[in-house]
Amino acid sequence: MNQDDLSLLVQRHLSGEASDEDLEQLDRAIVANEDLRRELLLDAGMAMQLRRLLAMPAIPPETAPVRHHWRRPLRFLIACAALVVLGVGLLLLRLPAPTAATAPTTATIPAPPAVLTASAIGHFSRLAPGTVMERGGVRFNPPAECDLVAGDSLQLPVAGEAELVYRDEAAGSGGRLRLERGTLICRIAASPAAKPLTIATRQADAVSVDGAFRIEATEASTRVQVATGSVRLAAAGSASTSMIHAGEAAVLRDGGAAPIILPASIIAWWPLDEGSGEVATDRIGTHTGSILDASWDGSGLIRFDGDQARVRIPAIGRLADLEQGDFSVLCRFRPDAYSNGQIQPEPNRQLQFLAGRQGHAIGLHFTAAGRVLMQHFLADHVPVGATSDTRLTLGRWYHLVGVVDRTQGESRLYIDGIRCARKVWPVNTATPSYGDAPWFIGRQRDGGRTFQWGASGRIRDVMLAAAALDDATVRRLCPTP
Amino acid sequence: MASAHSEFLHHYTLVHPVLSAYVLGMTGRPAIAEELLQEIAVELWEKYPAYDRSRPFQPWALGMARIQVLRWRQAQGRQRRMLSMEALEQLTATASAEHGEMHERLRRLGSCLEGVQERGRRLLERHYAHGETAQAIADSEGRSRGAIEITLVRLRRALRACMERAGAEPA
Repeated sequence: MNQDDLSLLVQRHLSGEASDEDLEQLDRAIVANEDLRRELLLDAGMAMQLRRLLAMPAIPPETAPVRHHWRRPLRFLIACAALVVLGVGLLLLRLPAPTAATAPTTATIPAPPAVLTASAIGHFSRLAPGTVMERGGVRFNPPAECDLVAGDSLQLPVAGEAELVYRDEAAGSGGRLRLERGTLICRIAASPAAKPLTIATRQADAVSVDGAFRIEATEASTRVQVATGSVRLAAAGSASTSMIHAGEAAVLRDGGAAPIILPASIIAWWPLDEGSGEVATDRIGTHTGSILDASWDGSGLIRFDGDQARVRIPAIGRLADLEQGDFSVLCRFRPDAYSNGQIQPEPNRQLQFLAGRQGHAIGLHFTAAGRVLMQHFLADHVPVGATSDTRLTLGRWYHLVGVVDRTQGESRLYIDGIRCARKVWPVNTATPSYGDAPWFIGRQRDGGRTFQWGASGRIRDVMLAAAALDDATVRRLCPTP
Repeated sequence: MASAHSEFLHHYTLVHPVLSAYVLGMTGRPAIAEELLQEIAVELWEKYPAYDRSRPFQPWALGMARIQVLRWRQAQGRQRRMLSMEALEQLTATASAEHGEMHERLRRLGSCLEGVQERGRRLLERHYAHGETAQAIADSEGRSRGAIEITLVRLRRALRACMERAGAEPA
């Protein structure tokens, strides 16, 4: 057997392509030939190094979003044309201009009653013009400053704000205000713990006995941001409550059974519930994602098809080097299929990529065995991962959290609020820089023939946090059914 | 005085190329080699307090790696044909005899790679970074599997020669 034949056997062996006969011949040669052993080891070292060196290519030019650039102006032009046609039509028909949408509410509202200071439990300030208050069955436009009386109902103009200082010095069991719409910045000035302030919205009851918070109510959702103290939040009509602490926020969607709690360290949140279109909005920052090659299902979620569907988010701002420090990746996942080879050929069947960064697959994965893996890399591109023992059931929603904790030197994985895997590694070990490799949801990369790792199922409420979330925090973040 | 952590990292960085080569040489499966290396790194760190600092680190690390490879072989049972135990032991001995030459050579791989022509680099990328088999590449390019394999062998030889040349040149 000449040198070329031996090199060919080494080549096949190191890429997993050797036949039984090849291995038999190579085996004999290895035992007999010291030079071949050295060559094999050097070639193996090169192969591993080449995998790393070549696995970080420049990001291929994006082709799909090019469509967006002309689609948006086109839609805009069509909309403008439609408006022009409508306007001309109205003029020709001499129809009266519509007034209902802009008519002030003051015309139908009686003059404000005397402020009931005797039973006031708080004080509003900076109430925007156009605010409507209801008290004792009477609706009126309050002045910019007035007192809060238990049982008041408030409707601020769209995007309108007001401030409320709550000070329950009177007898009674605490104050209750109904906020129909708008944003209230609340501060509890002095309140015995037994006298909480309850703010009821369409979706939620927010109860606080201390601190300061901001509550924003719309027809679609209620959002609470706690600055100091805490707020107990429950879906309207539900006995189940969640405690929101200082620095945290929570959102309750219309019809939602439990709030979605946003950790204090959150830097991005993609609910992925837009229901249509090609933009995945970040509700925290400005990390807007592109939804590519995906369709939407009947419930308004992206149909991750195990193939091309994905969300791509540029690694800019805080996403550029998030993995260099402590970080956490969170999402809700409902698997539709295991990657048992039915979806994609090897090596794509190894994993489904749920959320993380391209190139070295940092983040949450769903393995072929139906388990969850949180992976990241140490110096020299050494991968470390925490894998769950639990096999996920198809068709069921799970709350997944992967944590990289450099201070403790460990990776943690949580399913439904319970820590189910932990992997230790040298504390404070650095991670290689991944340049401008983008973040992905539902697939590991754009294009490519291998290692796409398309997820099969539904993924929603993907969050990135710039901190290693601890057990107690993750438990609270997990939505209770 | 260096902490145990930085001391460990120093040792580990130096032996990582040999460990990588050893584990891939044993398993012949790059993805499995990556997975085993992860296990080995964690185990080395966990056992590091027991490491006798008066002895060289590399044989100790290779010993750990060997155990992991053996465990993997055991778990595979008869599912897959593998190199014999004899070949494994011979390779272990050869790897243990490495004294940093591999580390030095592989450090030059990145700059040598820059000298590879675009076509060759694309082939290396497909095979090593994207994990495409020689057969798959051959099918997509309308060439024979053997031709692709020979090209890969030649590219590796050229890179090896470059790494050796670069090492021989005065700094």
